[in-house]
Amino acid sequence: MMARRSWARNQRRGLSTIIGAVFMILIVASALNVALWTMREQDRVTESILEKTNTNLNRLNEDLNISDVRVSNGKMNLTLSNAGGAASYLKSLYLVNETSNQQYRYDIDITVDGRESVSNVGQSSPAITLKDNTDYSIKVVSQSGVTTTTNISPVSSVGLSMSLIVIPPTVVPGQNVTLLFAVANNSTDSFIPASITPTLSKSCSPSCQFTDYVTPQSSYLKNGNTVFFKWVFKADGADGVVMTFNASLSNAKQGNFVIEKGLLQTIKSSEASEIFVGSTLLAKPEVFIIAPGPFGEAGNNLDKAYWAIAIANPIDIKMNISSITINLFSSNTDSSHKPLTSSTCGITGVTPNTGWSCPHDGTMRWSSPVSPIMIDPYETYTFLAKVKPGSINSVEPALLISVTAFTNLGQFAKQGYATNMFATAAPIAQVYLTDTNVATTAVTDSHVLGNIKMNSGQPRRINVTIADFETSNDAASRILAGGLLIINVPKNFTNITIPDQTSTGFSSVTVLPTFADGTTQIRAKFSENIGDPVGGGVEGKVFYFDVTAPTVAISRTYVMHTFLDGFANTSPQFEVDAFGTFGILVCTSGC
Amino acid sequence: MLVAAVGIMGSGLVAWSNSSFSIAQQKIANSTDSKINMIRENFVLEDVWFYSQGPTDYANVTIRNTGNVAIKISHIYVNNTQVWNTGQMINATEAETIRATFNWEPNNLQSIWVKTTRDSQVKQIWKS
Repeated sequence: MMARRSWARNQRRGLSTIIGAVFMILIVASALNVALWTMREQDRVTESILEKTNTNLNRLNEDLNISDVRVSNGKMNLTLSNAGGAASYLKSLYLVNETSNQQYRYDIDITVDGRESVSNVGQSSPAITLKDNTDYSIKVVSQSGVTTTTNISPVSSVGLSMSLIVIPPTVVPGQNVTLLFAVANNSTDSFIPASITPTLSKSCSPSCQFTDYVTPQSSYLKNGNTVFFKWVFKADGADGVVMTFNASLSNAKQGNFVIEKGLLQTIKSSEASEIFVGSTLLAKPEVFIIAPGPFGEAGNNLDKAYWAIAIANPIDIKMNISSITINLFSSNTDSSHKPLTSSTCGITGVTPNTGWSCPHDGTMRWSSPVSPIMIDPYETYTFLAKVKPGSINSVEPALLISVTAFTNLGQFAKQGYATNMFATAAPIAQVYLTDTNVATTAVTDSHVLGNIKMNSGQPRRINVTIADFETSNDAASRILAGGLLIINVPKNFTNITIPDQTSTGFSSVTVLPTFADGTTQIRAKFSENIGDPVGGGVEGKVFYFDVTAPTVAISRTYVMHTFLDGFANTSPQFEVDAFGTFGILVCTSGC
Repeated sequence: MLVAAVGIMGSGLVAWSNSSFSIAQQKIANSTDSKINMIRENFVLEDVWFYSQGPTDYANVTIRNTGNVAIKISHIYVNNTQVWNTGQMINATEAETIRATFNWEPNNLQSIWVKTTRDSQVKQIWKS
């Protein structure tokens, strides 16, 4: 019994330990729970920090930029781009009128995706009225606080970089001029809200005329960009006129303009009657030819024809000519067919009177390497010689001519001309300038001219000789009546007057209306045969006309093309097609 | 007897510990929530516009709440001088403009310091 009581007491003592342990477990469990809960709370804080960090990183992924601002229909038209990867929610737009110092704030609700842009901001919801002549600043703010700003400056308040290019800077009168007007907006943070309109004022001293062909339109000019405006117009006026161009913009800032000058210059080389030789030949001498046609009869070992090269110096330094050659080419390769025979050419120099030779068949040459001929600036020199025709075995309808000049500025050649020869008796037909209207005088060496001079703006009588240098009394060697002397008077030569010359063999003279290129053609019909003097010999007829030279600022050489259009009294009739290209030097004074 | 004493003491100890833990838990919860809200607060000074009306100088301080909890602006200081303390609630993602009155001179740099009730702060320099 005692043992059972003791066992029971021991059992209760163990129970209290168990109960105490249970309480301890409860307390420890509660503490552990609190500790775990505290860790969860800490985790919430950490999550919030991460969330905020992500938010801040997202802000970095917004890269807003105002890429354009214009005024359209009196309202703002803003283009905004987001170069970042995250979408941007635009919430506020601030507009400050910098002139009146007024600020306006607009609530906006626009989303711009990453790497996208949005336009027409300010056109509606809200519609923001802007003046295109007022300075503004603009700020746009996104929901995440990212800000972008820019300024609006009207063209009247910003100095723009301007340049004007005249193409070409030296213009041939009557030719087109192109003006390129470049306007650059070097500002990186300011927009010009309205399109800019170029303006151009043109003036000349002394006067000239402009005919507009192309005028530029208005254009927007974004910051950092350059816009080009182009004008094309024809400029016409006297030689030496200075053109002044003043380009700017409508409502431009005071003093914001550019001035450029151009020069009207008729020629620095030479001017052909039908072809205006322009600035492309400024440094290249022009070579012109005087040739007979026909080049007489084959086998005549007596009479000579005049051949000449007129060389115009186009630049303002002296030009030295050391050698010239005239080559004749036939498609007939027979050895007996020689339009010009070296051994019998009998070449005689006129100007200069020495240095001439026929080095081989078909070639005439003047050479003087030790004492070259010097041509003054803008002047013309005619190399003139006379030579006997060669021997051909058949009619030569077109004998090609090639001339070459060797100068201290290089060698220059000209082809594309031809003469002809008859196999039996035929005239040696020529046309050339002369300094007399006495026909018998005009056919002598010293009166055969390739160039003449005129004073600027002054009138002068020009004598043109038609001659047959075949001296036999053969009826076939005559130029038939009814042929035409055709003279192309160069551009800008005016007041063409032709005295009556019926008694001297020109029955019908016509001055055609001025051609589109400015040249004027005289057509004179000779009413008598030429080349049939009693007993044989040379015969010529002199046609003359009066003309006023153009006004030039510096000496200029114009070129007058002259040729014959008729027939020889051969059987069958053979073409008479002699030609001459003559230099007319127009001096400022003292010619 | 001993069992009863252990039971009474244990019950008391458990009750005390629960109460103590509960109070601590509440304090931690409050503190954590406060810190979390503070962390989640985010705002920017969107714009400060200085102007005058008559003889009085003002500045319109526009504050945008860029966080995701509402904030309450408690103070605005300019150059470390309190110029406003009225209190202004700003909901998440919204902006409010607060007009503060103080003297400013043109073309001077002004230090604008904005505080919330949770003590979030933004301090920026603006040119008047």
